[in-house]
Amino acid sequence: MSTITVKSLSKTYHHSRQALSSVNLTIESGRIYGLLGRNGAGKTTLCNIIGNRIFASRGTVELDGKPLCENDELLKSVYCMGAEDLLPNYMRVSDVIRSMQMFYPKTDADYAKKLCERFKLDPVKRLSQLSTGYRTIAKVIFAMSSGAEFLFLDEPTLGLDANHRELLYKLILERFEETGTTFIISTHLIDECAGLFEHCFILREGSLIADSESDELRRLAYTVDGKAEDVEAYLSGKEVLSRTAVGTLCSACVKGEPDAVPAGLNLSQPSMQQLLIALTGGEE
Amino acid sequence: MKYPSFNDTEPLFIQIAQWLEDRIVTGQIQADEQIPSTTELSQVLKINPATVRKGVNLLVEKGLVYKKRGMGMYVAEHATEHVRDDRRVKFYDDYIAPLLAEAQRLGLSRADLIEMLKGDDAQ
Amino acid sequence: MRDFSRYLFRGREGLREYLKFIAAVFAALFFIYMVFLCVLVHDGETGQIDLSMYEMIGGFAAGIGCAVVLDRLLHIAVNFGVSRTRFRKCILPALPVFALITTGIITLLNMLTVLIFRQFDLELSCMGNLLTTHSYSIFRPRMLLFNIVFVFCMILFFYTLAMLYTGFKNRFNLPVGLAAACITGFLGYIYMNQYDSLVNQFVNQFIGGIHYYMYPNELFEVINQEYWNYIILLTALAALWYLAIYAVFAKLIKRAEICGKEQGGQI
Repeated sequence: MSTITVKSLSKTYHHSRQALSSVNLTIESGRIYGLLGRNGAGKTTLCNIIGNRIFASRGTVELDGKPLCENDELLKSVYCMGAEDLLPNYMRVSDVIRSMQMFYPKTDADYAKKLCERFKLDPVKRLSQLSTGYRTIAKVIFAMSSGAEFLFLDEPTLGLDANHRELLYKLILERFEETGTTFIISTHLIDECAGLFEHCFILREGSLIADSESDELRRLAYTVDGKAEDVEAYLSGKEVLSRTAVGTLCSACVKGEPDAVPAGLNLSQPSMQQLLIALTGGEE
Repeated sequence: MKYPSFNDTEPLFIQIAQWLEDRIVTGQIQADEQIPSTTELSQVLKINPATVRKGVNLLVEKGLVYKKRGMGMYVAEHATEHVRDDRRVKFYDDYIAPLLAEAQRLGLSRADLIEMLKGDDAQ
Repeated sequence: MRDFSRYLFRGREGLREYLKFIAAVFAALFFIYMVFLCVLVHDGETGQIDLSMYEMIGGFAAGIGCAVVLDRLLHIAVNFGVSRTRFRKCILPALPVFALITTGIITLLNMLTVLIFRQFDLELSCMGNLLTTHSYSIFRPRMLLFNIVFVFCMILFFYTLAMLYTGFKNRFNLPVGLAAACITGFLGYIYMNQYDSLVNQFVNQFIGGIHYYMYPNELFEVINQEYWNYIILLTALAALWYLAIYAVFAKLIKRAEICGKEQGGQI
């Protein structure tokens, strides 16, 4: 059982923009993780640092206690799939799989072939000939057939239609059950994916604001709604994440667990999406 | 089929347990019949297998399902009855209390409610 | 170490891709020579012809090919979890091997073209170095070795430009990469053509020496010492230059960020 430990990871671009601020988290093998947050929250930066594509300004990433950065042996246990195209566009899908075998010893070319069939992706096609959706599919196929123990999938649903997304989730769960591969999935489509994750990390503006089991996430906040004055009265002294006014009514998302909610107000559980929006800064 | 969803009030694993219980109490899965495997449930519901397992374990704790070595999870004897008994106890809280609260909001009296119930019987 | 080196030579995106690129260029050059041959035959020319394209143009193309492939390989390597350290350590011995292969191709093409021209009573001299002015045939063993060494060093020089391009491009950005390669190339060109540059001094000495023995048609007996001095010196200079540029390349690559140079658009 391996563990990836991220310690005090910070990344500053050009002396001004802080993409990551002292992020600490632990990834244990054999689980499916969700990495959530808005665009620019730092999810891709985090994945890129772990994947040795960019360097941290401070802090370390370790695999079983040894630094992952620039370590060829340990990097064989990690495959990062992201929106950026690092592979030359003229390469065919089959070429990539063939080349990948020279880097990742546990590459499963047969599995890759099966995945291509299921997605109806022609492996003879060059990467440049693929649509956005199919390029994402190709990248996911590469990641999943690499045989690496830890797979970081950054936006694996980019450009995928609903049918392909369903298929993707199914395949992830299948692969997870068969091989125990650890998945760390960053996504925006929280409502669809929430069931997949055992544990979630939420990033906001470079900081980790939540690090908990999925079931615990619901305990992070609750919603109250009712007459505006009643709601406002109730809200005093509480950490309000978001507030929506509709006429004389008001609903608010409050951080923490519900306590002493008066009879006039409705208490409800926000959806994962609403929860995430509220936690990561509302609707701006 | 209404599938468990993350947006409902209860934690996902509890929803899964209830989903299975529903099917047991209605007899869709009989005693000594196998319940869907963790793998199947996980892939159909698109839910993490660990969560599914947690839900199934709840049923094991309640004595509603048992594990047959090397075969899978089976519905226990009298599970249907157990669930029925459990739900009977919770029937008032789950259905009657909300009914009364709503009736009060609408200004319906007990007599009105009894009329409604009688009306159903007559049909 | 071994698996990335293996990939460099056996993988499709390494040596093979590079060879595909230069094969196209050399095929085109060969075609031009043939066209030229047709023109000469048509005009009824015979005798000595000087035209050197394989080496300078071919060499330049080899440099471009190396730059393109090197940059791509870096991206592929990082995508597949290869450390930058391993990447550059494998490149160090690999590039001279690539250069050797390229030199072999150029030399064979040279010989082939000369032979073809000879069928039409034309003595082609297509060596690109200063010896062209004295029209020495490539088939003489000493000329052959001399030419091979010269071309190898020249190609290695172009490779160092490719390394500068890749290093600066990935450490900073594309314009900087191009600028670094072009400026160094230009400076190298000026240096090589200066009359009193170190290289030219030795070449001229060498030329002086063998010319004395060669003219007009006698078998030449260069003072062994001078010939080998030249070969050794040129190789040593090339090696030093290569290692120096490699050090710069290694330093640049070490902190090169391969993607996400500017993530998001937030302020």
